[in-house]
Amino acid sequence: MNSDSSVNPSNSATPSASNTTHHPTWQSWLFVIGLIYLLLVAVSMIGSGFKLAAGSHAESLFEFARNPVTGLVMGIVATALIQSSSTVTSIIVGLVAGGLPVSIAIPMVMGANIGTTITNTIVSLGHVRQGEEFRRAFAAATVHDFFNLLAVVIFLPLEMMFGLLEKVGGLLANLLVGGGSLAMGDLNFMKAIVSPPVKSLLAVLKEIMPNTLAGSLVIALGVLAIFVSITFIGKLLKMLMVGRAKELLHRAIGRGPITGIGSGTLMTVLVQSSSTTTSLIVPLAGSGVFTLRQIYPFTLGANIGTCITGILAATAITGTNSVLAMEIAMVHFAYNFLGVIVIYTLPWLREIPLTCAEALANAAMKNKLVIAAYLLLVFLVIPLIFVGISQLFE
Amino acid sequence: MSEINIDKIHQQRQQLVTQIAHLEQTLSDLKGKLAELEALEQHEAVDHLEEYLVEADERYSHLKDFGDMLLNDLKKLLHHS
Repeated sequence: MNSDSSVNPSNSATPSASNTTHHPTWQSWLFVIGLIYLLLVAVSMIGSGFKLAAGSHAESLFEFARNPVTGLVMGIVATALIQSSSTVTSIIVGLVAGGLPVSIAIPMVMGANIGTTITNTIVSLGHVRQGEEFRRAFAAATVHDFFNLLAVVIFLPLEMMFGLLEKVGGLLANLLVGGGSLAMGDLNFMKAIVSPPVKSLLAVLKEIMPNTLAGSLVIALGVLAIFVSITFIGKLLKMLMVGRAKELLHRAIGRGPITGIGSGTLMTVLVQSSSTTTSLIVPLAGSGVFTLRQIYPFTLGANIGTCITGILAATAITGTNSVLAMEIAMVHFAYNFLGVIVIYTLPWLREIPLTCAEALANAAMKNKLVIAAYLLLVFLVIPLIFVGISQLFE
Repeated sequence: MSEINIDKIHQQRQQLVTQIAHLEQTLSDLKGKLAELEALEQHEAVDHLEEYLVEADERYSHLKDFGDMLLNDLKKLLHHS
């Protein structure tokens, strides 16, 4: 059924695992806690910085992204470049807290979902010389792309026509942090731990430079801090949680797709990165040990699990905009959860990503130009064409 | 049709039913064994998860291979046209 190199990963081109073995220590966990704190402070910095820099003009600053297709493309390109949807969604949460309207942020969040899929596609290219192994790995990587593209095709028009996700997100956010609720009171301690460093930084900068410049600098520092914290949280959690991830995968073997979705979700929550989950699954599918149909539910679970970072980021926001910050985090969750429910529950929709991924992988195996064309078209050319067309109709 | 013939047909039918049941049981056993082997293979692959982590971390190092193959295919395309 398989070549030797595909059955036993130790025979393949991958380096030895010995250098990745990591024994969890309390110092590592302390470092993770510190990085989570840095993430929360960073999100709060973006919110406060944006408020200070834009003042009452926050909405007009993002007027160019009022067109949903532009917002979608911004999300795709930013995430594809940074290769972390968690970073982009955390920045979006911070911007919403600073005054970016939720309606403008929603397509950006959808775009982040598509942009993040480029990571596992790159991972699958590591098998490019392995023929059939590459075909399977590439199909496993692109099934995530096609699922996320299909989700946008279904939910973006619904959002534009009825504001479906904004309503669901608003409802969930009000339940969690709505005015006067108990939950809001529970989250007040966040203000006590997150606000002081942000307020101090703003106070110092406001003394030495104009408000707009100070706000912009705080936003830039916030973005940098989010990038650093999420990158290192991901690296540390990957090492600390690999044992748990193995346990989850072992438990899911031989069980149905719901267990697969649940395992994918939990695994992504543990490592705080959907790219990590999907990148681990790609070689498993490439080896032929897991079929495309078997890994598909894990991929969907990764989409749901990745929402935890946005929700965590939203807890950093206190005050009047805390509900809005939580609303965009909940929109992200509702979008991914409903996407799985709608697409995976309806058999004819469920098959579309599988069929497209198989067809693309077959074509990619015959000619590598197909891969380059696909990456350029999906992540750059088609989005830009859509932006152009949508601008014409404005 | 004589009674002997009917008995013979009945007997043959019974034999076929028994044979089919036996084959179905064998098929089911084989499927079960295959599922067990697949699960074993999957558990074995999951045990190597750390190696896949390294592969994901070093994803850019493989891009040169892809670039070489892409150039080859591009040359072939230009040659044909």
